[in-house]
Amino acid sequence: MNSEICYHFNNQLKITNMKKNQNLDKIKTVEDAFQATGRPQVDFSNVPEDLKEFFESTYNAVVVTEALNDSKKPDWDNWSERKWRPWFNMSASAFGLGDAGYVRTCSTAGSGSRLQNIDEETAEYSATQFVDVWKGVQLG
Amino acid sequence: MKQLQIDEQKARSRYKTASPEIKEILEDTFGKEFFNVSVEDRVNSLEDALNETGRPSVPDFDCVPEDLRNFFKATYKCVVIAEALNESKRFDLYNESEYRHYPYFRNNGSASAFGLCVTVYVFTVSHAGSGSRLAFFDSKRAKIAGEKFKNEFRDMLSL
Repeated sequence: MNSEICYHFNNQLKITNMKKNQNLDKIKTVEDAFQATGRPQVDFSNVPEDLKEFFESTYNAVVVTEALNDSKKPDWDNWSERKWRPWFNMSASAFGLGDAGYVRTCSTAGSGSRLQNIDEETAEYSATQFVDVWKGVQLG
Repeated sequence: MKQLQIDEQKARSRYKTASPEIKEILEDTFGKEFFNVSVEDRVNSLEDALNETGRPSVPDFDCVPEDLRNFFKATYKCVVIAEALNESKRFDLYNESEYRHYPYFRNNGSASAFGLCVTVYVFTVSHAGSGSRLAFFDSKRAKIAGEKFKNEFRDMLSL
């Protein structure tokens, strides 16, 4: 079986003063993301109680991703477009960014276009700045 | 006289830990074969997954903006499908010895070419969106999800 998974694990520390994506300077909180996208805050009272946290976190992650991507939704069927997403270290004491990776032709359960970033820098920023949102998606 | 009513989903879940006497009663009521059917054989559709988990039907998600409703409906379906195939067991995401399996899909630039390409597992890392609600306990279940429910997964990934 031939898989075309293209992870890019970059272990080098990147130090950069100039962010390519200007939104990274503007979107610092979930509230900033709601304001930038114009998305409303919602109440997921129509889903079973034990799934509420998962859906609330997923919604917040969608809004944050949309805000950071400048409302550009990655085209999931476009092979030539790299789609970046953060990877997390799953540790109770140190949950956080592990790295950012991209895919082109494959996608795994849950990693759809609503949760992918337009570049590596944005994916890394999303994971570090909005770690609690992502934690809710992973654990909710 | 009081009567006890029990539906199929509850009977199946209680059967696993029931005493021999209760097991006998359940087998007399539902038939022995009923309790021998594996999850991969009994979950073939979204309706089966809803029955298996006892989850309510897909909410209309009218609480979210209209353009996001289909994405959330598709996500709900996939969560229920994963829960059904995992027989309602939840993952401990911080348990490094517990592997989480995921179906990987090939989109290849078109809806018609969409399909399962491989299953993968992780244990100490997890990527955006790949939470405990969408992982599977083994490769077999991930493969079944990717093959039987590819339309639901495609909707969640692309909408």
